[in-house]
Amino acid sequence: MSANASHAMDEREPLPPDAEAPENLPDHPAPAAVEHPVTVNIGPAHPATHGTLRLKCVLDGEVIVESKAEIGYLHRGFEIQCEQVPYQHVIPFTDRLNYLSACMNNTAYCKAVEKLLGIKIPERAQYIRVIVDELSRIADHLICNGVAALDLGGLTNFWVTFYPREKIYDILAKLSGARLTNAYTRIGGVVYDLYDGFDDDLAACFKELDKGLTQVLKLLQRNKIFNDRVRNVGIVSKETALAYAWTGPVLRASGVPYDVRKDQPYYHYDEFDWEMPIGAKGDTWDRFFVRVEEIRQSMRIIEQAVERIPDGPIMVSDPAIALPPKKQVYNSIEGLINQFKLVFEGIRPPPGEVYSATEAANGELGFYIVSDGSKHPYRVKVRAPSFLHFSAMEEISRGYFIADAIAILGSLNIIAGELDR
Amino acid sequence: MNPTEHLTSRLGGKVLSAYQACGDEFVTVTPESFREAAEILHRDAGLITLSDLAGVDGLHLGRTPRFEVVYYFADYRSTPAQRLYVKVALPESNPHLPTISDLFKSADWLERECWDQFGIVFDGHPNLRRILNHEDFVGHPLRKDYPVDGRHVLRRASHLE
Repeated sequence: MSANASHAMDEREPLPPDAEAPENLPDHPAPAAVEHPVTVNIGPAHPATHGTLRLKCVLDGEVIVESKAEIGYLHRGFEIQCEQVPYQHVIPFTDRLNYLSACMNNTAYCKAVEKLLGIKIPERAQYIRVIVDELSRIADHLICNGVAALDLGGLTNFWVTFYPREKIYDILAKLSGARLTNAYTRIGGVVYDLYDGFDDDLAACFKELDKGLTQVLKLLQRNKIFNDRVRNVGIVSKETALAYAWTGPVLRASGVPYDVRKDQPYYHYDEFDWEMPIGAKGDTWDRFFVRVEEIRQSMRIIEQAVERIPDGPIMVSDPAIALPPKKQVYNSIEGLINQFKLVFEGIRPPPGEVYSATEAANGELGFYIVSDGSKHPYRVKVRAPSFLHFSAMEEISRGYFIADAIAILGSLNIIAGELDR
Repeated sequence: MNPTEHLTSRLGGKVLSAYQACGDEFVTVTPESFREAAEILHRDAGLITLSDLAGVDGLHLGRTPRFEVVYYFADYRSTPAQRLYVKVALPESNPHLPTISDLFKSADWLERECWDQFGIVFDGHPNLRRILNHEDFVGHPLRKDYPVDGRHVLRRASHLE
């Protein structure tokens, strides 16, 4: 990615990890010195918030001098709901966290419980999780980038990104039975194996995706209006990003090379050949194009995973964790007993606690689970990346035009389901 | 020196325990020394990010003291990233901790959430209001003695001043 404002934007080479933090931060006007402040309320139901969140801004003309963020409009008590149900039943709840990439939430939760149980899932299940996770990541980034430009008035870009995104959802729907809330993983593996013809669907999808990405770049990269709207807007320094515990594409756009997939590799992520795109300046432009580049990298990972995926089981065989095959349930007493025992008694991890992190589309999605040895989780805490990203909104929108706040908000990809839990 | 050694060498007996759970480092400190521990981690150990904060109500675990706050400190600049989980146990009556929102900006909202859900007071927090629940909400819903089907009818529109 090119750091200067020249139009040599085709060279989007990832910068070295120690790229310097930007120096030319905008000057913030002092809030007290405003003569005629105007208060403008954005949200909770506003087309540009893409969810229910609220930002109240005090303006000096068009410039934001002070803003207050309010959340909680979609709070539904996710964490207390998890405490009421057996471990397996939490999986559909996790779909509703970041509902644009539900598979990744499933994986994050199941991986935490598996870490608590101390089990390793079969190789094939690991590769399948990588494939569906990266597909979800692509879908998530496509939506984020599609609507980010839509908020700035670029409607065409929205159609261009949503067409390949639908192709991905078609694949996920064929695979899991659900388009949006997939609930695809299980504790100990995944629920369905890849279907016949998966590779062909994937190839067709990637063709669309490639076309879409090329169109996005052609539409926006040299677009004067888009450049004016996103370059040097919402600059977030490395220090600010780290202080607010940002992770994921927004942190990498600010120049910090942190990705859980590289840092604590799981499911063979260290064996795939892929790169981590890093931004130079941390502005909205960087956040947009880090996501574009991550889509390309995710495609690379999927291509390698599909090539290397081994044959074998997709669930662990431990009868205390995995339901027996239906043939055994209907034809043998042991299978029937096993099915009843597992359904009634549930999976019972040993007492203890675990923190497990995965790299979701928005950043580090962590689950802190406390177990008391019963079939219900005693406590589930979600480290939701959107919550931490949005907590910085008051600070990073200060001093910009109100229209810029919309551009910044779009580039943060705040998902209300994950924000409010 | 890793972050745990920083804490044990500087705080001595105030570090109650240091152990591993599923491969991650956990440290328990006393509530009185927590602020000092956070300062050491931020200033000397380089863990400049407070990545998460979780409250736990140990009522049904029979824990005394009842509450526990788990802080997840991290340094995402180093490779591999350094992480440390610091736990503080708090009593049932008047649980309170010093705020660290002046050191870690993310602590602002995370502490507000913990106060909202568990009723743990963070002394010195500049804006300790409810964050996920409505301002008129009564009680702290993630406490184990809060009724799961508890419902409020709240008619006042929330306001931002």
